Amino acid sequence: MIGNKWVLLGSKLVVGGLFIWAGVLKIIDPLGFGQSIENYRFFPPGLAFIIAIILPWVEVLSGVFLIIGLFRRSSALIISILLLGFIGLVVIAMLRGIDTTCGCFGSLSRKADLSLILMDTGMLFLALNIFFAKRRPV
Amino acid sequence: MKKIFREIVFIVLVSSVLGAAVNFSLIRRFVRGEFKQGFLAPEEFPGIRFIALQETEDLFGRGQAVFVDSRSRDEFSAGHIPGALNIPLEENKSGLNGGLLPYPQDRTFVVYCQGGGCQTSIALAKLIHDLGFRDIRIFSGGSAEWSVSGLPLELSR
Repeated sequence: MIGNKWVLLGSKLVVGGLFIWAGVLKIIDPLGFGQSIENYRFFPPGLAFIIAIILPWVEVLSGVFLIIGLFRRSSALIISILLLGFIGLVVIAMLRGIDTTCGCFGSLSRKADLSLILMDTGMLFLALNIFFAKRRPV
Repeated sequence: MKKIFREIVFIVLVSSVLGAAVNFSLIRRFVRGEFKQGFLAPEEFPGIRFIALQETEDLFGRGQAVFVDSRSRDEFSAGHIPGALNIPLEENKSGLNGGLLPYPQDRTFVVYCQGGGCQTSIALAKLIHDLGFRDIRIFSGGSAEWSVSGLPLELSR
């Protein structure tokens, strides 16, 4: 883990900022996000609807709390759990041969593929680094 | 760890309240039965609706609708609703060429894919809607329900 305060500051700005951006794009278009969730063919429609309503707000709040430093470790843990879930979903979709966009950034979403897994893994590393950090970022 | 758990529950609870408040009208529509088969917003796609096997069979029998199969060419060749056009979504994701559907704007279309939760028929229906057609029906049971019901399938080489 990297404990340098500037690295931690950069990490929380990048991860928090990306989660706020991703959440806002989904809040704007909940039905589009619901459809993206359904495209993975993993959740029943009712659950996909509930996720589409709640998850974007979890992303935005976690991102905001991470950046302002309130509930820092809890927000980093939520983001880490979400990223693990996203990585798992994309892996399952790829194994099942499902060709879909990730749904991660609303209408700006990219294809759910290996490069997305690598990007999410990088973010997961940054989020876990914040969670396990002993010192607070500046 | 207890503190972290409490904070996580707090964030999820606040998110649930905000999500429910902002999407109150959507939740009411969901409770009334909308979005059970897909997340098409009627105000955004007024010309698209979902239909069941009986209505599909009826339209087929009357010969009044153009059937469109959104599956791949291989899946289509292996068995499709007789007379259906094959417009594979995977080859037309960026938009449809209007020449593929040389029909008057009031023509009825029935779009289907494999069934069992497949989504390509919904995506293709949206593309047909973008061309200006306003009577598009998605047969969500798809070719699977059609063949299981003993209805005819056509093979193509």
